[in-house]
Amino acid sequence: MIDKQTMRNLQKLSRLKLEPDEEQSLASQLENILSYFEVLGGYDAVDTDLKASVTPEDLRRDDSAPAFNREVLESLAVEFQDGHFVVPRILDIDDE
Amino acid sequence: MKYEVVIGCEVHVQLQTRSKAFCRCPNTFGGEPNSRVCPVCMGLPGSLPVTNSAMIEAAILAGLALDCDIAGVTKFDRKHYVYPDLPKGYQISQFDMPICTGGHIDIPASDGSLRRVRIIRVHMEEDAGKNIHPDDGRSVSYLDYNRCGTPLLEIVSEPDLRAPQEASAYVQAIREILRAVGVSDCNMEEGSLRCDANINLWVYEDGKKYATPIAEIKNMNSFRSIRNALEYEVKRQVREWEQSRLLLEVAGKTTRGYLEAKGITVLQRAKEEASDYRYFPEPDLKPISISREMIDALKARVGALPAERRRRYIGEYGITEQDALNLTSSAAMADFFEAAAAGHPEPKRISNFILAEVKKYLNQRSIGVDELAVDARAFRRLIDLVDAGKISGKIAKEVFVDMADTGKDALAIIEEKGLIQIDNSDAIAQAVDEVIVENPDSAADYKNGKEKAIGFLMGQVMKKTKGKANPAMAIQLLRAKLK
Amino acid sequence: MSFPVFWISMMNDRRLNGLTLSEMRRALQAGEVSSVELVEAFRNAWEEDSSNEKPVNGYVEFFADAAQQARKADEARAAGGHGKLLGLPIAVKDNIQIAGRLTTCASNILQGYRAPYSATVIERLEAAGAVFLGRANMDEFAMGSSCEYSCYGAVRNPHDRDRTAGGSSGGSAALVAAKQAPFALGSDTGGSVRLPASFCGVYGLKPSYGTLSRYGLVAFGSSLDQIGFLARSVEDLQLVLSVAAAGVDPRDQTSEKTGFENAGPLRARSLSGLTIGIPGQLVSEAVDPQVLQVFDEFRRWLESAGAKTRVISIPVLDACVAMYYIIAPAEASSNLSRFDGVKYGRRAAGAENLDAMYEKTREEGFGPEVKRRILIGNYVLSSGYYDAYYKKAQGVRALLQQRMDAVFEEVDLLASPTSPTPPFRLGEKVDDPLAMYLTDICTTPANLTKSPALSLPGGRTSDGLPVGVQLTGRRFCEMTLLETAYSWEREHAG
Ligand SMILES: [Zn+2]
Repeated sequence: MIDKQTMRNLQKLSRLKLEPDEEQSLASQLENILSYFEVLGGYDAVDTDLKASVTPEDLRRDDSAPAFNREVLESLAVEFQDGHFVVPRILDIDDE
Repeated sequence: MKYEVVIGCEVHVQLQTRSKAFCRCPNTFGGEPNSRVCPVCMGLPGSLPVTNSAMIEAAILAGLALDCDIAGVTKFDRKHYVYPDLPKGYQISQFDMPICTGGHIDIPASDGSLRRVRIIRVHMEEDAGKNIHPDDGRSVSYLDYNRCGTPLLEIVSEPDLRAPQEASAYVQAIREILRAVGVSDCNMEEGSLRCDANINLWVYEDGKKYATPIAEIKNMNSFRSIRNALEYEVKRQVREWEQSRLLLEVAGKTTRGYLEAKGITVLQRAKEEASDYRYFPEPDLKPISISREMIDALKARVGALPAERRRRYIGEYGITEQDALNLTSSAAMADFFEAAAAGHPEPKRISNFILAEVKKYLNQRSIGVDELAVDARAFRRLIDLVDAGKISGKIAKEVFVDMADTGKDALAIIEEKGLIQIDNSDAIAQAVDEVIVENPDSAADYKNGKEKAIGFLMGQVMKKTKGKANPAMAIQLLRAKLK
Repeated sequence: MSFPVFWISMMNDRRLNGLTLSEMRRALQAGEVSSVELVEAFRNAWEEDSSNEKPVNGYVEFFADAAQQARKADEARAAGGHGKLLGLPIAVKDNIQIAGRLTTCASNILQGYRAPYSATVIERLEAAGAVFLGRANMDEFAMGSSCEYSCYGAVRNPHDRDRTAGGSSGGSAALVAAKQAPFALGSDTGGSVRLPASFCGVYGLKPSYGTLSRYGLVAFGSSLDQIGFLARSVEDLQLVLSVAAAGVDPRDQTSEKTGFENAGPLRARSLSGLTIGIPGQLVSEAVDPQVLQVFDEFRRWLESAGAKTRVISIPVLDACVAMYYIIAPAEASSNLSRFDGVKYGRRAAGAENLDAMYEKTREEGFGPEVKRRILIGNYVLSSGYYDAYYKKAQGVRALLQQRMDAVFEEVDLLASPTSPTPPFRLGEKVDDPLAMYLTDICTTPANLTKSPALSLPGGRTSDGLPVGVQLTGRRFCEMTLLETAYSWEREHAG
């Protein structure tokens, strides 16, 4: 059930690119794990409980607080320039 | 070739709250890049979202204003996709339990009738950051996360729109409504209102209906570009149909971007690659239950909405549906009308004057009623002069143009120009006598029962008095003298 | 430095290292010891162990300024300060952020990441005067049951250095067991505090979901994660709980009001009146006989202390590992999608475009178990499989909750082994993920039902390996767990 196509799709969703041997061993482990999950078939699912809810009044009041200062961001960043985080060129005209 | 244009819109609106959707960073426009970010909206490890109550309130207000049902329980979900402007790798959005469902708004259709546009759902989500592609020759992009976490509403319509100008009118109507309830400034230039449209054609040939492939049009940044982009797209799809007869079932959905400078749409993504968003309920946030009481309290705040105003104009003022629609085309226009008509026994007359004379003036000069030099109270003084018999309705039209051009008051203008109506019976009687003498044939016709002749004679009296004769008085005297 | 002074200090170290947090607290209050001396004792123990041929490897960093923090605490005490944890040294798992310090989750992808803010629990401990000794080793991103999946190398069990310390808070548990720290913060998503507590022979508490704020704990499975404690005594668990659980955290919408901050000193309680259920599913023949033997002794003690015990059947417990290994990886795949090299952490060099940068960064940055779970998570959430796996697991989780609610109508607590086996050998399960996952059979139910659970050092195997016993209660009944464990401790400690 974990064929090459599934593995490729999973890697795409996961943003991972596995080495061929890694891919093969993970595929067989996954298959093993997934077949273990079949134990769930023996139990009836019940509706997920939505009673554990809050009311809008319980939520955060709409007031603002000061944000990060620039130095902190810059210290976190891998590459930072002119106040911006920098990444390799995004090749997509669909920006917004 | 007989075809129908089919358009549905997805409108994103930024909500005007003080803080962002899930953190306390200020929710304002622009600012120094990355100056309004914190661990939460930056998606730093270990940070957790905390829902802003004002976002929920604004979403309910918007939903009520759009005639939606408000959910008793709503929840947030994670929508996963990878893009550098999305710091967590997922967007907090709503999947299967949106806060509002099933609304509608009415807009003027292209054929002059009323078009009801159904709204499928309105849901809350957080905005992403912005990418900037610097022109410095380096192959890099810059990221600014200020916009990240701005509360958004996504408003999804059924494909009920039948023309490009209807799509533009629909988005304008949404802007009017959401501005009226004060949840957003809906500024397309600043991106606080953004619209994507799905458009295709239903082609009718040999008694059959064919659907052409749907194109999702993006990058439409003004009402004009919505209309222009979709008009272009209609032409393109007609051409494509004639050339290839490509069907929706075969070609599916594509994404196209509008290039404003060239006035064309270009392909961005061919046949929609099924995006797998892997939605699941946001475990960091609890479901929210919304009480009937809260909805009722907010209903009271959804005051004079266009639909509600139209109902009142039609029901209480006896104004036609079409006129009511025109009066509520903008909140400013409706406000102007209501202020001018306040306490007037015949609001319909005021509506007629506005829709004819005022609209003509605005259209000729391409300005809005809020830019007019005549405010509602000055306008009402003009109407009051007509009511008092000081000037005729016809003269009032000229006076209005003068007022609007000069900003002067009506009374000043009519005094200055000597336009005050003659309601001195002697002066009118003299003019009537002269007209009867000068037009013996018409006078005879009337006496012989040709009722129409009185109109001609009336015209002559008005001409003689330069339009200043009180028309009621003039006609009364004419009839008396020709008896 | 002359030889005799050094020798005396070594003697002192040995004595100090063995104290519980509460004993240290009393010694500090009495002026018998300083915080600086305590910190130095632990530093010496750690340094000594580091030169061992098979070091425990519990610290990934011993804070260079630990003594300085201690000096400040001593000065504060001299100036009349009386924070509840003033001068008490605590080790912190490497996934709980302390502002300005490295936090790496034992992952290459977070190398060099300095936390820009502190976790709420850290803030509360700091405000109470705690001194942070260092960062404790762990399985990468808390994914593992043996503490072998760390970019800093495996943690060794202090009781047998060829065996695992359990995971994922293996560093935290091993430090407490090896007397390199008196107390440590861990995190528990499916047993990650209790399992290493059991393997290392210390106390481990996983509070109810919502008792402690998760703000600042690097998320793994958001609906399951909870910061937990590893300690040498029950009293210590209660002491730190009363500081860390001080009310709802406005930054964590899932945190709850518990009132634990107001709990008085622990009392040993009579167990008469308590009914304790023993889930048959967790004491089956699949459990190691030596573990069962320790558990039986514990059960006899419960009876002798006045409790009623009875074996009950909760069939859905057999599905917990499956549920857990669907839900936790699903949430993990989502939580870990933020590690992309764009904003912080490590970015792979030499990527020619954006997509390559993502893939290379994640390929190099994540270890094998993390990759495995990201793949499982994306699989069970992906279109076509969501209903069969993720949705089904959540549905059975709701069923489990119903069953457990019903069980807790009839019994006050559940007792079971903490792990089906004693500590296993390093490398024994590292290439067999499913076997590793099954280690969590006894611990995952508490996370899935948001219940509190505690592992106490119940006894030893014939080889002297620790065996833990687990108590689980209904949500927010931490005090019953602590009091029961305290009663046991008073009769067995020493
Ligand atoms: Zn923020």
